[in-house]
Amino acid sequence: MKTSSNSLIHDDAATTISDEGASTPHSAPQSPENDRAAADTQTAPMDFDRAVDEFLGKGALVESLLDRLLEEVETQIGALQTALMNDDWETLRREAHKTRGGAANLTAAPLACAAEQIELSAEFGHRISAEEGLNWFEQEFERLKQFAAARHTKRTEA
Amino acid sequence: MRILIVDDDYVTRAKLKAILSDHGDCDAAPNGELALSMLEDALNDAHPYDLVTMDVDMPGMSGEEVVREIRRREWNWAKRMSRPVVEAKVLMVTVRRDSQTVIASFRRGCEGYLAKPVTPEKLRAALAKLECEEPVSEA
Repeated sequence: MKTSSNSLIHDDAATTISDEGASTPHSAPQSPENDRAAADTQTAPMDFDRAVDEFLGKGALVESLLDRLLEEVETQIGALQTALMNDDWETLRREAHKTRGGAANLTAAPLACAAEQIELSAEFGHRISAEEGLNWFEQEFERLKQFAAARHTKRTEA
Repeated sequence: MRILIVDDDYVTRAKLKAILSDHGDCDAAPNGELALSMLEDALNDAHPYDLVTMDVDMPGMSGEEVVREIRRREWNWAKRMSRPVVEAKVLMVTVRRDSQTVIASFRRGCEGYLAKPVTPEKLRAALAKLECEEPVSEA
């Protein structure tokens, strides 16, 4: 039996529809800036404990997914830089989108927010915003890499 | 319950599988084309999927296109076999939150919409809205 569509939209999605629906084409992307302000207040580039909770206690799986994410983002940064240099907005958008969902699901919120800024900037063809987003993305990647390295060291010592 | 997870992002696939494996048997596909083939096989084996989680933005077919194709194949299968239509419940799981995508997804035939990041609580709430089964361990 099918139910009315509106009642089935999860609240988190529904509450944001009116905000994003108000944006107009060619206007500067807004949400990443707000997200960035929120993300900057965080000390850690990832909430590892929360990730383990969200993966229902599968810590080893979270570790391996983090390692894989870092490997892939390392190569992806070159692709993002090339796409931006060539004004290849579609590749830039697609590459940023690839990381956005994965990083968010791994609780690496700052990296996800930076990817979102690149994705939205590419969608609207905003070069300055895309450049800022890419710089931010690279910084957050370095922070996440250091975070993972520190965890590895800690594990080895234990 | 049989569940098919469709997402090009491996982190999301792993997370959904970690959470949904308590609710049923999970298969996963990284793109729409493979998902459709798996869905068709499941129909032909008379063991169709009960729930499909679907990403929107994927290389190749978009999630919306896959949902439309799922519905078309379910109807064709029922017609061919002279059986009632068996529709899998489709839950869109995506970072996209714009009204255009949400509306288009429902028009193509999805029944629920969940914004990433996925958490066990959000997913369970979405499953409850879809009236999906309780976790196997609690059944």
